[in-house]
Amino acid sequence: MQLIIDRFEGDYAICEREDKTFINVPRKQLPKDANEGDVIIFENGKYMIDKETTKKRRDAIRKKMDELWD
Amino acid sequence: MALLSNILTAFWVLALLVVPAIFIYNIGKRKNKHSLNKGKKLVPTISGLLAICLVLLVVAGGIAELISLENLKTAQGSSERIATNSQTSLSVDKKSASPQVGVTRQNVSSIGNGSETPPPDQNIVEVHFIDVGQGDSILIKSGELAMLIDAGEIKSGETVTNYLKNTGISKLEYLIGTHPHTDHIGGLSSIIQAFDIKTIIMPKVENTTKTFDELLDLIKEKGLKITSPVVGQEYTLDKATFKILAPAKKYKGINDNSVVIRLSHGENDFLFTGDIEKKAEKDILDNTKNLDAEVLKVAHHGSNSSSTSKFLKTVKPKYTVICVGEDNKYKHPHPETIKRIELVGALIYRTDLNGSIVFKSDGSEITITTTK
Repeated sequence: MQLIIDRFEGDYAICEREDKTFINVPRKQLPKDANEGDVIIFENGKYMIDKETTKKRRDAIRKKMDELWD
Repeated sequence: MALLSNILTAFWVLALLVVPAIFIYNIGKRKNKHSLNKGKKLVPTISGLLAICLVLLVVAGGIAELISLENLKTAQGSSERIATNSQTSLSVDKKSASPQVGVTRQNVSSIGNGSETPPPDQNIVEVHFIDVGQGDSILIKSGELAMLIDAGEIKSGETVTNYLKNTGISKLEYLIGTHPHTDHIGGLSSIIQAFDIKTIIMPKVENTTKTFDELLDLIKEKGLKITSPVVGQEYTLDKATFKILAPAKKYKGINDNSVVIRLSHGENDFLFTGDIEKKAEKDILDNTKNLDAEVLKVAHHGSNSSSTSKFLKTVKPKYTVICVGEDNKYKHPHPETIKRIELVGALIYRTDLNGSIVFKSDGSEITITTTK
């Protein structure tokens, strides 16, 4: 299961599932260095940041943004 | 309601005259005909029954009237609870404060059906805080032109699209996506699909969600571009103008990067703050000359991480609006924020309690309508 952290609200991280529905994950279950926009995966009973996928997504989004902003 | 009240009053007066008259008549009959046979006693018995029926009707009428009074009191009570410190408002602005008693009893159908759309030559600006649950969406109509700030979550896209269509909107001069969180930009794709958009203003801040990614794809597909907000830049929307107040720089948290604008129409100013938190509020305070506003969209759904006392005291709002979903998991609005707002003497409107909230400005006075 792959999730993307959209934002943090209080004790929760609001995460987007691949089908664009949302799930609130308690912040304490996530790695401390988790940030908005990080891709996280659930493996061996815990959440981890998928650093490689996160970087790929960030790079792709930045490229799109550069094309669209004046 | 007034007609019913008049009928009930007339009924009371009539009943008060008729009931004693029948009683007196009955007593008189009993005294005179006491010695008559059983069959003849039927006449006074029927009169007595009639009298009892009348008494029952009077009591029922009284109860009905009491209930209607009680309902009115409840409406007033809840309106006062939400719109705190109504006395201050009354002394400040009589015209706008008076409809608030009736505010909770407004008919939904009168909002957003286009029937109340003023002729374009009239100097009216409307600001609609559309109820999208936990999220923001604000429509601004000025003369014949319109703009939209945010459109809630993806699931709210349809709600906002329908609201705009029912309000007679077919194009938007400006579409502002305050910051790339899904409770603000989720519904924007539906809006871009349904309406002609002239200018899209969004901060160049990244998020990696599919929601944001697909929004960018759609904007590209439509051949549109995105304009970065530049602090100090002014835009015109027919009778109104708005100025960009933030973001002045790039912040780490996405919320603080929210586009903040101050809309001016005659003597009335509206401040829209997205989800800014303390850091951005401080920078706005440091960089902005005119920050006072009659109406303040409370930042970040009334979170305690926003709306510092200093910010509120400088803005000095008469009215505040909190865009917030019923029973949300984040406990927005936070009680500490409510207290700080109450301390500056502003009335509080909330989309979870008031539904969609419409402010109408004629350049000097403001009238407010709610739908719940």
